[in-house]
Amino acid sequence: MDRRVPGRPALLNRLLEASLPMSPLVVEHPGRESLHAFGLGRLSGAEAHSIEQHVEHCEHCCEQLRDVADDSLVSTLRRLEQSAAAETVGSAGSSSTDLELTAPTALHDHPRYRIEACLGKGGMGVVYRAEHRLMHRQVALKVIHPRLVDRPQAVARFRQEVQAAARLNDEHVVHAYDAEHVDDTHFLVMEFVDGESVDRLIAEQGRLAIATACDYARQAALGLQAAHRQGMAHRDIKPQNLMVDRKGCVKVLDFGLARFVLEQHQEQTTGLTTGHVVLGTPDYMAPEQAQESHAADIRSDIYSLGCTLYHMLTGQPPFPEGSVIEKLALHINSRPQPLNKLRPDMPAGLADVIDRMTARKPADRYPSPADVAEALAPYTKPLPPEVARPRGWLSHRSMIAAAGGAMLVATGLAALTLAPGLPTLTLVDSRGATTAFGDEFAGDRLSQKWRILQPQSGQVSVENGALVMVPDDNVGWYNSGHGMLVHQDLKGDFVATTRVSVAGTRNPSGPPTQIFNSAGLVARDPNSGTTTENWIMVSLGQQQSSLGTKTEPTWQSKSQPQFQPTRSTMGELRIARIGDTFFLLKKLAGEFEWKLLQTHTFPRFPEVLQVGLAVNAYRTADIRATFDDVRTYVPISASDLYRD
Amino acid sequence: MYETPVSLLERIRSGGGDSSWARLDDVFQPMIRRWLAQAGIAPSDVDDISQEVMIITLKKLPEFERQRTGSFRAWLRNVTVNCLRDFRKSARRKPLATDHTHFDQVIAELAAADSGLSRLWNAEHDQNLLRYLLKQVRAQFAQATLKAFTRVVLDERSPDEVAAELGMTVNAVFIAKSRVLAKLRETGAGLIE
Repeated sequence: MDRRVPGRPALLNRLLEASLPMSPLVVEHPGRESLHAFGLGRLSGAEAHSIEQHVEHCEHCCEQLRDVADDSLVSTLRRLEQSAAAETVGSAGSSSTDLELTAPTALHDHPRYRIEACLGKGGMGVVYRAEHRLMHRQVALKVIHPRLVDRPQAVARFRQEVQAAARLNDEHVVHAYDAEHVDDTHFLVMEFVDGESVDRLIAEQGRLAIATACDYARQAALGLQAAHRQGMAHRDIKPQNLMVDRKGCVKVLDFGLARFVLEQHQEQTTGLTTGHVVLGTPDYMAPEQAQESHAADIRSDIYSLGCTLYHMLTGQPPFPEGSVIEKLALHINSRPQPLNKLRPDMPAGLADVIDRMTARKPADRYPSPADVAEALAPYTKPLPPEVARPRGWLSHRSMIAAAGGAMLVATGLAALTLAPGLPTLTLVDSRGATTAFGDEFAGDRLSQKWRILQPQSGQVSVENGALVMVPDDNVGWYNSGHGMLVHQDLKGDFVATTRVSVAGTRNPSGPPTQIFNSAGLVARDPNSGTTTENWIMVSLGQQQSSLGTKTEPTWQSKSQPQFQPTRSTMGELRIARIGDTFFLLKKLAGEFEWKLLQTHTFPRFPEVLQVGLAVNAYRTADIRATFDDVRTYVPISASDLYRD
Repeated sequence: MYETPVSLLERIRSGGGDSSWARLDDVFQPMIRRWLAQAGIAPSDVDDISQEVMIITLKKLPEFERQRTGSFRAWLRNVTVNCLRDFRKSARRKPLATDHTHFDQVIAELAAADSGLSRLWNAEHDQNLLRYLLKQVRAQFAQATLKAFTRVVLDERSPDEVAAELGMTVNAVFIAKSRVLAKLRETGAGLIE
């Protein structure tokens, strides 16, 4: 309430003003600047407190606070990936049980739709399952992120795209029914698909069977063809946008929306980085799209579908490594790893189909999705099991080169399946147990064929099959061996897997305990004639004298090393050799999950091979490392490796 | 009386060897690792480089605070550039022929403040730090405050909608926003902006 009176003498007004702070009747609003600073959390202590008390009851200031523009902190917070933010603030975010709070208030008590569950969040918005109250049919509601529809032109474009998509009526397209809104909340009403997206299928099962993958791609191509007939393209074909329902019917999701979202982001963002962040993965993007997004047409979708098929077949996108920028460049300038290298069980001809789908020039691709569907059709039937044996692979009772270049080592008890080129190695135990490997080499069996080299006296020993290392408290870093711990001359057929796992530390509360495993191989080429030249040495691990000093390699080699030094700070490392290829593996969280760190194939099988393992520990840790699974098979001569 | 410093930077500096290390590692290591991976550095090198960056950061942090010319993220970027250079020179890395030029490219791009990779760096840094800070401050607020903040800032809902949803006044929504933002600024002092 303003007690100043117009027309009163200035002196009186000044006196009244001077008395304002004292008067309970008069409200003193904080200055505009202070209020804005408060709105952005830029004030602290007493100042923040007093303004807070004022704002609590002041309508006027509350109105003012609406005008506070975001500063860099707030806009970065707004850009935080929604799912990550929700996870970060935990229960304060949404949860599917907290439905009333999750769905925007605008959708509560909607006359036509009753929200049933939250299906997921994406870059575009949140998707809910809902029931149409009158039709009693289930639909999916995609609530578009407010940022994408914050201007009238954007809303108009959104509706336009949805209307175009709604004209598509095909069993292989997720049907869009309508674009609706309640006040400022815009949402898309679409067919509810009871099933999973292809990316989730891959995440759950790994790469798909060849016939299945080809069938999914063929069905998606039919959906694309339906759109193509209407003059539409999708522009964002990727595993996430292919839904598979319970009957195995594939439906393409989000027609029209990809273009809309890209447009909105392009209008809203200027910086390269922001642009890339919102673009998401470029894993499936056609070269012409990466260069000029407007150049995209149905043939870009064919390219993306080819990359998606590649992913379904191999478990990885064509260019799995690198930054966003580099991936874009790779799509333009490079070819991915040949499919039959990653999956040698591919039927002849299929690789050609995918090559043509992913041809760099649009004109070299299939002219329409219908042609793709036709070309894929022959590969959608399951193939009779076929055991292909690539040349140079050893045929032996203990080793089976399985169909598809997925290598299989069968020991009667356990099978170790390696999929070259895949990021994970899956250990499959025929009994379903994970212990099948461990017991075989317990006790003194370990030392029967293997012996420890250069044990540092008293510090390294084998006890009941476990390699136990006890570092000296007074030594900074303890390195278990500068050479290889385990040595065996190997000639002929040989399979070895070795493992070091850190079993425990004596002083968990001590200084940051740094432990890492090292593993290595030394091999000598039989043709070299000397013992020093052409040695290939692989070392996983390095030595560090103390925290803060430079790390130094523990290994030296006179020839170009074929592997980069690698170490595992925790967990298990394993070296496995099958045929003439070596695999360096690191165990991931799951019992069956192994990450393939490196592989190396020897041009000639080495005459001498050493396999070593080491554990490095920082100071007070008492490392008990178990060491198992060192196995040799019946030796035969090296030349046998190359027989057909 | 000893008071626990509020800002993360203070706590990193005053925490003493181990807890400083753990905290620093906790905050920045994931970001640096993710960035290196995104830049296409071989997974086997990411371990080494990120650890080296952490070691140098811990060592040189007092220097940064004394001199304090630019932003923390720019400083951290420079530390990383230097570590990459050292790593490149050292005997540890025996790059394969194909990988060699790429590594140099990454160094050159990261050294330039306005390159695509540097911008990616900034975005990663800001997002990572804020996620961490959000996690840090959440325990200090009532659920309603945190919820209002989440809705109005992270979810970009209108204050009126949030107020109606949570059964509070719009004034209270603004207060919640102000409080959490203030706490984020306080905790992230010296690191954000």
